[in-house]
Amino acid sequence: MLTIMHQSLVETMRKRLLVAAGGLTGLFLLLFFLFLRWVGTPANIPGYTYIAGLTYLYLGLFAAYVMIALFSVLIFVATISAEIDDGTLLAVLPRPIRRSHVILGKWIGLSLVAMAYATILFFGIVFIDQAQYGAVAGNTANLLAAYGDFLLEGLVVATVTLLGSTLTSTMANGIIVSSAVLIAFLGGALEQLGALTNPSPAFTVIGWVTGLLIPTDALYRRALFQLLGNHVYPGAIIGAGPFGAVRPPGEGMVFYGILYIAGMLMLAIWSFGVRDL
Amino acid sequence: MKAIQTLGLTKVYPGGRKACEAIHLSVNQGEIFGLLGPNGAGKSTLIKMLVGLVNPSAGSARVLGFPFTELAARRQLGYLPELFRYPPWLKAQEVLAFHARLAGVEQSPDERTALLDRVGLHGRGSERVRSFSKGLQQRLGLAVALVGEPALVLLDEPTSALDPIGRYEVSLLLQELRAQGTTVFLNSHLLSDVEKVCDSVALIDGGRVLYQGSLKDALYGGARHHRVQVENLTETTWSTLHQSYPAATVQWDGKGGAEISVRIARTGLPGLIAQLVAAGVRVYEVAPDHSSLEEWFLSRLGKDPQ
Repeated sequence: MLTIMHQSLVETMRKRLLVAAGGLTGLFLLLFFLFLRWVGTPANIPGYTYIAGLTYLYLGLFAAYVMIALFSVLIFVATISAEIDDGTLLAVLPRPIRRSHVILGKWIGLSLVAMAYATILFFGIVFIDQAQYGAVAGNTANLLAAYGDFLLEGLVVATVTLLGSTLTSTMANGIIVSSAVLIAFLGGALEQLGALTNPSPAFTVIGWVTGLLIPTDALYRRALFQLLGNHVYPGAIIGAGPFGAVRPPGEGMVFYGILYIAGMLMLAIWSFGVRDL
Repeated sequence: MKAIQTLGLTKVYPGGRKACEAIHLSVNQGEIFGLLGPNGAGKSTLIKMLVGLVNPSAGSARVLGFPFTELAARRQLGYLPELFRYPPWLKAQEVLAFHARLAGVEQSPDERTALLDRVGLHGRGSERVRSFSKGLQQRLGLAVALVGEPALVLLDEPTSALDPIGRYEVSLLLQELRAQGTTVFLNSHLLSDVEKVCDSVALIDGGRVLYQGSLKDALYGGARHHRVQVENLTETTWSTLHQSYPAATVQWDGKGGAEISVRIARTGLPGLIAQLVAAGVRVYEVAPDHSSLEEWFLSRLGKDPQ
């Protein structure tokens, strides 16, 4: 398992995946920094600095949410399917190694990369925002809770993509997982919209169903609430409308996220174990 | 202990297609075993079941004395797939190092270099796989299959991308492996290569074993045509002989000599010769008509070798 994990890490470096991802993330953070510098802060308007800090933090985090999901899909999408197609795995699996160890090795190795990416992106955005507008995003506990939610979001997408990679072709997998993440976001947006404007339970049900299908959006909105909720600045989260977190998921969603990852990982191990190559 | 022993190994793919049907095979240790059959006969599926790439629908097998589903069966096993690729961003030396780690064997850089030399990749250890031609990748695949000096090597079409020199070198390598006591399980469509190196063969078609035995028996066993050069063969003697061998033919050369063409098993030759000698016929030569493995292969599959 360690050999496969090591090989996965070496692969990301040799393919210059990390360099490309690091470079693009660095560019994004630089643009975010320059944007905040150029937008600046109008003087003498009470509370504006706070609102501007929260608004731009929200924009940055939304970008992070999308980028982490995309990065996780891209890094995992070809993990198994492409290696079956090109014959790489045909030479590896006859070695005295269990298929479950191949899956776990790849999952751990690439998840470390995905988590490093999420860490740099999340803290980069928060620190750039706070450097410009001061500490606007709650206390350290809130910050760490939100960070944990972002990590979980990346791991959920990564693990589902890994499962898809054992079941279907690379392209179909990429399309299916990306669509699922988008559907979860739309479902979450409808739930928030319902909470703001319509008391009908249908909106809540839609949010719940999509959240159970893939809890990426629920985890994102939970993270958002940690940083921008009413306990930080009353009313800030309502201003984001369907893109905010008026009705944030509770701690149960974190447990569900962890269980979801474990379940998807076990499914991936089973699916790969019974597959003929 | 057999190197490979399969007991009714069967594979039915989803949709009902039977790739292998109750395959019973036995491969002795230290021999070169050739698996023959037309396209779609089930050869690759059989090999893939033996190395754990395909899950069998029924039956079992033992590889090097271990149940084939156990990891222990794969510790002393090397495998070259028919269609494969190594990560193009790795150097040849790194491919070997990676497979040595997977196999759980210690391998020094010098050993890796020696292994690459052995398959004709001298001085190319630091080149990346992406720069290798198909033939060079196949040579690298052979080196990978030999990592850890396995007791059993399964080679699926090992010479399909090689030039004649490469094929010759591989046949030498296989004989070298046999001399070391390594069992080689060879799947190849190049029957001339199989004929050169194999001790035993199995022929499968439609997922069933049609023949298993020594190559010698395949080529020389059973009734076959022999040409018998004689002198002093009289019409009376020929007539008597013809009653015993109705399909036999004779051609007199007009100078007292004759050539009898007769279909007879190797075991029947002493009796024939004794009969001729007893009738006063002088026997100068008995030569079997040599049929190649290709002719044998075609005739066993019901195709006319002509």
